[in-house]
Amino acid sequence: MDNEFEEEEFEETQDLNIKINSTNRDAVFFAIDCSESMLKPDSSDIDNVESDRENKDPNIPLRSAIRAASEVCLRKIIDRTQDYVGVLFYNTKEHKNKSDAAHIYVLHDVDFPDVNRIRELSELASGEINFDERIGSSNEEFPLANVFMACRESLAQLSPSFKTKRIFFITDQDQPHKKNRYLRSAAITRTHDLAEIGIEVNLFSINRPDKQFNFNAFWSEIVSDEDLKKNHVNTSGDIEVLVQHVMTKEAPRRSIFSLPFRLGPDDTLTFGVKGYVLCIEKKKPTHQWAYMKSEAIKLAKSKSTYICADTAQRLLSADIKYYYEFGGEKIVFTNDEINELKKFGEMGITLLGFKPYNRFKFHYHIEHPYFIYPDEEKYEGSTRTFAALHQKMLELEKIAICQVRLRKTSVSRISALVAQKEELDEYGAQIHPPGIQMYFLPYAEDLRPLPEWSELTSAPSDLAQIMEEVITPLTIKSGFSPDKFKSPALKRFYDVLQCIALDKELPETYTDSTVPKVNAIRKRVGKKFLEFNKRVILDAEEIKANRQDIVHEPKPTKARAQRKATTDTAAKSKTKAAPEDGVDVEALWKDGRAEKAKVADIKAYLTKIGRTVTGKRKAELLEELDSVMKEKYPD
Amino acid sequence: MAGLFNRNFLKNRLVVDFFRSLTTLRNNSLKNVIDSNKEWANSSELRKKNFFPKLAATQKPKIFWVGCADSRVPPEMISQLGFGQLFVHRNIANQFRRNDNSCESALEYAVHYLKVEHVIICGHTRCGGIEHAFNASLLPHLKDWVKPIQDVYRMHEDKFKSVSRKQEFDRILVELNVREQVRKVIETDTVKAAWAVNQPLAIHGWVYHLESGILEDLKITIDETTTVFIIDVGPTMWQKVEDTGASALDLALKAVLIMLESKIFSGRKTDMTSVVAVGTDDLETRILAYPRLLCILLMYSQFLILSDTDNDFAGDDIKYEHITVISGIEQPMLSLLQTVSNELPRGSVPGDCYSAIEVAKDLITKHCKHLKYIKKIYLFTDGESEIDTRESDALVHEIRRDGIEMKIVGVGFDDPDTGFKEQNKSKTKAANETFLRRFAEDCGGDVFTMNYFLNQLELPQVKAIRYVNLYKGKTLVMGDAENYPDSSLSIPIEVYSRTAIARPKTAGKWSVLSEAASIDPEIKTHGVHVSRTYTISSKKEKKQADEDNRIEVPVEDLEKAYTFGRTIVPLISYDQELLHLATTASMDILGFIKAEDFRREYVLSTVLVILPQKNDLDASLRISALIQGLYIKNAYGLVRYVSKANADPRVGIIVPYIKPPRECLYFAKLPFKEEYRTCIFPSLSNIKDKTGKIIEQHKKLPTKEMLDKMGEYIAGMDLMEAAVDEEGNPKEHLKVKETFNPVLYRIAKATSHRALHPNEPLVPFNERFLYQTKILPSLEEKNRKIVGELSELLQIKKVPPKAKRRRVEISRKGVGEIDVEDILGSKDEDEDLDNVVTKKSASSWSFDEDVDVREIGVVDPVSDFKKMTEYRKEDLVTTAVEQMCGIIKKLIMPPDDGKADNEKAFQCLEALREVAKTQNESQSFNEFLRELYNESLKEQSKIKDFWEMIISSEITLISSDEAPDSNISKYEADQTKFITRLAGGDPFLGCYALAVTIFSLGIFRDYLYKKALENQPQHPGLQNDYVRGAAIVLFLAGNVFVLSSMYALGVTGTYLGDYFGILMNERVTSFPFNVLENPMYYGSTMVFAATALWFACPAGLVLTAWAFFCYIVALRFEGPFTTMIYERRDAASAKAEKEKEN
Repeated sequence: MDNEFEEEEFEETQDLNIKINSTNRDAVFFAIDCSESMLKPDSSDIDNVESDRENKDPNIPLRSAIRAASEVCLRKIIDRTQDYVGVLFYNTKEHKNKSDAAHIYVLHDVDFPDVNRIRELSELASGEINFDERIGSSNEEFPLANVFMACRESLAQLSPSFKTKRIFFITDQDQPHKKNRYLRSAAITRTHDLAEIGIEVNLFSINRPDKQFNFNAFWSEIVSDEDLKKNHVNTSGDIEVLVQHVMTKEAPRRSIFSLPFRLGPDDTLTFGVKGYVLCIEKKKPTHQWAYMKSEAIKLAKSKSTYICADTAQRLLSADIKYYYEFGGEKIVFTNDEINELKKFGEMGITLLGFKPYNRFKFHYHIEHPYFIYPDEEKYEGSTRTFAALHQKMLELEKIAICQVRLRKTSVSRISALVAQKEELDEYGAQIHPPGIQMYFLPYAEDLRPLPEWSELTSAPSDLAQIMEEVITPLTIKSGFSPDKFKSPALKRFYDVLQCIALDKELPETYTDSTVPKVNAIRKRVGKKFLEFNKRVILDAEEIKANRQDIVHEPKPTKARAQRKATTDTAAKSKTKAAPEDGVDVEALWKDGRAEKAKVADIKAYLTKIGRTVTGKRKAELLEELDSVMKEKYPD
Repeated sequence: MAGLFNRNFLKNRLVVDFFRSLTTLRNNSLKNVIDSNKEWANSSELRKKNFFPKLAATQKPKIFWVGCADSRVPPEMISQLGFGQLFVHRNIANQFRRNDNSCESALEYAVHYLKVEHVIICGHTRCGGIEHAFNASLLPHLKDWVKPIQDVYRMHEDKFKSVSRKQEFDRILVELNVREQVRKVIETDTVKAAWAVNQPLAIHGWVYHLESGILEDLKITIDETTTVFIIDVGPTMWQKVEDTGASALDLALKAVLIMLESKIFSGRKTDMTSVVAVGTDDLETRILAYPRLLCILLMYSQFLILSDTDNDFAGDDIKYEHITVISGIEQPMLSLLQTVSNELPRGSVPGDCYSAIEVAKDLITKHCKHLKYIKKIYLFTDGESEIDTRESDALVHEIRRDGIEMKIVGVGFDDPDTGFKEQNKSKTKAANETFLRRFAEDCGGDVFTMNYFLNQLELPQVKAIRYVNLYKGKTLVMGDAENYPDSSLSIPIEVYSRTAIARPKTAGKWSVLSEAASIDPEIKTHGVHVSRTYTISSKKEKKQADEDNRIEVPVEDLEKAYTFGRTIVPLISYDQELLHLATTASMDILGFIKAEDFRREYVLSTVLVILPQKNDLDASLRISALIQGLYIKNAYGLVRYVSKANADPRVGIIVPYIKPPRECLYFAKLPFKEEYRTCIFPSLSNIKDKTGKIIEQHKKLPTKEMLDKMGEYIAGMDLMEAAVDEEGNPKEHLKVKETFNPVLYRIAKATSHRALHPNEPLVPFNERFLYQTKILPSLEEKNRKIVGELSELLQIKKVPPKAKRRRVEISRKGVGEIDVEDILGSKDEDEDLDNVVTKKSASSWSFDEDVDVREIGVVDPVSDFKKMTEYRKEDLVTTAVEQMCGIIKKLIMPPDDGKADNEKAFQCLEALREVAKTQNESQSFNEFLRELYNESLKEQSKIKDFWEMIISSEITLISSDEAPDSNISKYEADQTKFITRLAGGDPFLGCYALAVTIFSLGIFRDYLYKKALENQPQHPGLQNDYVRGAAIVLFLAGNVFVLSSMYALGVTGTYLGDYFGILMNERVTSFPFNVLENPMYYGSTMVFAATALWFACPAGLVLTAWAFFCYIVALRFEGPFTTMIYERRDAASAKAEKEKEN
């Protein structure tokens, strides 16, 4: 039941991804500064690096930058197979580019990231490929404008299916053309050209311990002015943080719906919102089919056609209707009617009212939330309306209850809208965006009542107290963040696939970040558990005893009672079975039930009146008895 | 059963005496046993009766007994049944084990070969097996054998909650154990097979009380439902319209349909229903409606009743008048719904509801036999018909005994709950209501008012779903339980769904093309298969080739593969196992987090419930301690969860939930790094300018007034007290438990509606659900002012859609086809409109041109005809009609063997009918049609084909409904060819088919008549030769009449040919019609009378009189009819002749 549901859910989101994937392609061009300072290891921040991270290389910014690029490539391969990535180095000794400009080395032009590229990047990052030999660093001044030119050349010719085209600058140079005003303005002009054809410039700047990166000195002119914050990420030299930031920026925001939000009745307060899915369950991809018989292996495209079972004709979509089974018959509907059946409520988000936050109970979760953010495109003034609503809901700790229909074919649902505060890290970079999280609420049909047996035998407080003592030392200070766990199944899948694709040897062991650290747990609370387990047994005994004698094992008292009972019956039957005075055989005979009397009784009776009984069967005895009785009672 | 035992008690006095059997053991010597046996076997009485040889010949036990091996419960003795009565299987704790050969084979033999009628599972109190079921120190085989009893306990743990004494505990367990075994027996293939062929077989669960020696029947029910709906269809039910505008019957049907629909939609085989109508017209009342045929049918029914007095059914029928069993107890199918919805009879006499309950009860008893179903009877009535209350007590007793739920739904009944009193009740109704209420109370049933009942029914019903443990790993672990079990935590748990999205049924695909397929409709499936084809690009380049450049490849040449970027990794090149992480089912706590640190947006799944394993006190204490600990510390747990072996590990959150006495943990999945995407969105409250300075005022920022007003609005729109409960107190609106998925209900409703009314549009959504889509009117009213002010402040403006831009978007998105089509479509429409206009003007112009059409030509008769009839200056209609008739005749009967143009003629006829209808010419049309008809009947008529066209179309005589000048009723117009059509349009075929039917019915009638006479007593006064002689004379005379009239009339004449329009050329006046007017009927009456006299049976004479009476009634209708049609024919032919002369 549960699995079935998951399957369906999965399909839906999968569809969603594919749709976004093919119509919203993204191209990223990394422009990585290779000036000498980028090659200097950064020692001051080393303490900040968490010790259990995989990386044990010296903290060289350039290498982090390359690693970031490789990570992005990898992610695209796994997640977004339609996207392009390119990598360009500047301030290099060697040069390689179409216009033969000096100090620019295009390692990879923008294209599908493929396995060999990732390998090359990761080898560069790890030092397996000698960077100095192959590319080299230079501090000679050269027009930065040429870098923009090179990027533009590649990005401008991409197909219109690329909705976003971005250049990711990674540098620690805050003033590339400090002295040459001419070159400086040329660079700025070039970026404006870029903006015109829709190419965005993103900057990942690196602070050095000796030198804070001054954003306003030069780059504020370069980076698109709309949202400075949005496109500028400033980090210290910490490699992981850099990769993190790049990864964050990697996926451009892509809305999955744009809908009216009806805050008041009759469109009086209707404004526009866009919706995003920020977290969604992912599964291993399903296999594809490859044709092996051509020179090169080719992927086969599958196409399903519907065939009529009665006529064997091919069915077009117009030839297919739909049916529900009903009382042994197929009740037929057209496709339009099937869709019509689901049309309940208006498209969009319709406010029904507000409730306190605590009415949104934990067990009301049925799906990932949708993140909504104002959209000025259709309604001017959406942002201020949304902002007012957002701020007030936060202040009053209220949630909005809305009726929501996202798509024409989707079922209308009641949702809880929870305002989310913007949160920034210590450098002022955004961790959690401001907006509203929209949760679909279950309908009554989706709730399963708690089973009857959820009425537990409650633990006594001493047990609960030990548990409290266990919880405290095992509390993770930083709370939960998705960054902490990589999916072991996905990781394993792609690791192995990557190894096979690259023809590398498979790793011996797989790190699974989700495996509990049992030793640490034992070290910290092992003794508590020891105590707890003992207490449980004692408490259980006590409870059992208190429940008097409804225990499952027969207690001694019970056994005794039982023994008594059996002896009682035995005694009783004995009294019955051994009639000293004899069962009243006479009475039995009188009732005409002499044959009911036992042989022994009859014998006893007959012996008593002086008849011989030995060797006689019951029948004979009865005859004997009969004659005796007839003598005795002639009538 | 009780009767069975009483009878046997006396029969079986030969059974060895209980006490004596104990004495044999007393001396502890087996020799005694042998001796006693000898004594017994040689006892004179047994030998006298030839007991052993008889017994040895065969065994025919009626009972299969599964009992405990306990020495204190010998089945024969406690049941007092003797040799050859019981087939016994005994083991410790009377268990029936599936797949245990010993049990199963015994059952197979008993049911299949011995054909036992009862299976009795008999447990007993003080059962050692039960008492020691939890004894851990039992020997291995024993322990294994009693283990299932532990499961029985676990399954019903809740039943032991309040039990404090061991004895009580065991007693309950004994009973539950018996129930469980009964369930197992019922589920065996053997029993199912027996039931499938209607072999009488009942399963019982009994407990023998060792202390008192009493056997107790547990009356075990199984999870099957039988419902009988009794619907009162008496005249008051459908004649009187209630305030709602619907009759009581409409309401009752609505309720029954709702219940039936949900039963049918769920399609459960164990949910059976029957529908009984009370107050239906029985045959004698229907006679008024259908004259002749039914008179005869009625006669048959009387014969039937008298001839077969042994038949229960007929007997019931006599007893229960005006009650019709619409459908017996069966799984409800669409046809039942159709019957109830459309064809439920409306009776003209009040029926006795009480008798109907009796009928329903009998139906249930007959169907359920001794199986204990969940049984329900619903009675829908307005209580206006007399109730015969004589045997009320017996029925109440039976309903109570059989555990039937009795629900009475009364239209216009008082509602004691709300204090509502129906006004102006008739005396009968008031009395009946009182009676029914008392009756329901006695039966332990309920009485509802129709309004209340319908209201309840229309509320969405959430179906109960069975709980399934989703977790196969069994324990929740914290720490290293494997290596250090003592210093770690390990709790046996079970996991269930707390939320699970109930999705509507998925619709199957249905092929439209099948309709045209020329195969037998019986085997037509309308099924849709999926066929997959695979193509590869023919080009070498990586780039995606066009569709044209793809080649199809056979599936055999394909291999499964994964892609990594652009690299294709076929599965054959490595071991697939490598890709998948091997896991074992487990649930491990990783650590804890503070509840306030947890962000709800990370939850990405439905919620599960974690509970301790049932019947495990330790587990309960452990998990309860964890729940309480978490609760007090306000912490959640992080867990790693693998639901079953080799499932992908998930990280999830566990959250404590306490609501005494319930405690549990909730679990939900959390995202992995790959599953969560951080996006950066501009701040909503801080907007900085280029220099990084915060801007205070911006069009995107709300002002303080806006914020304040928004706050007011939020407060005003609070839902916590927005709704009103039954007592008028404010309550929370839109509680999750009170919101429903309207689509689920609509699909079910739409399906059943479509099933009943295939041509109607979809049913709309139930208006009950609309509150889920709109702001409550009360809230809207309350906040009207704030909304106005807020809207004034916020100044939201809709941005007009930019047409140009949209188009660009369309093409970019690649979904533009539809939009483009829309645009094109509208263009087409415009063009069409233009065309229409031009055409119109053209036609009007041409109309003006040739006004003077005075004659209809053969080339375009229809338009000529129309022009003539539309001509305003002069009345040309009559002329036009006459001419048109001529034209049609010309077309269908062309002179000189030309080819008939039926198509054109038909169009003409249609046009003619249309005009005739509206222009007072229907008489002429009807005459013309009759003329054609008579023409078509002529042998070798040329117009047979044309006539068939008329038949198959809807062209009939013009009735007075359609045109006021017509003297033909609609009924007649339709009927003239109704039966003819049944027989495929050929009147002769129709007539012959009817002839065969009537003839065979006649034979059957005679058979019944004879049987009736045989079954009825003979009267001595009639047993003499004079009577016999009279019988012979009557018989001969009667047969002469019958046979001669048959000869004179021929087949079509005898068997109602006139109904088909086959008239004799002349009305027959030869013998016997010159002697008697209706020799056929009189003749057959004479034959009946003769037979009755021959058998000296007065009942036969009564029957004959009855039959004669029926004939006379029939003749009253028939005589005028025959006369009329002949007169009409004569008139028509006279007119035709007149025309000819002209």
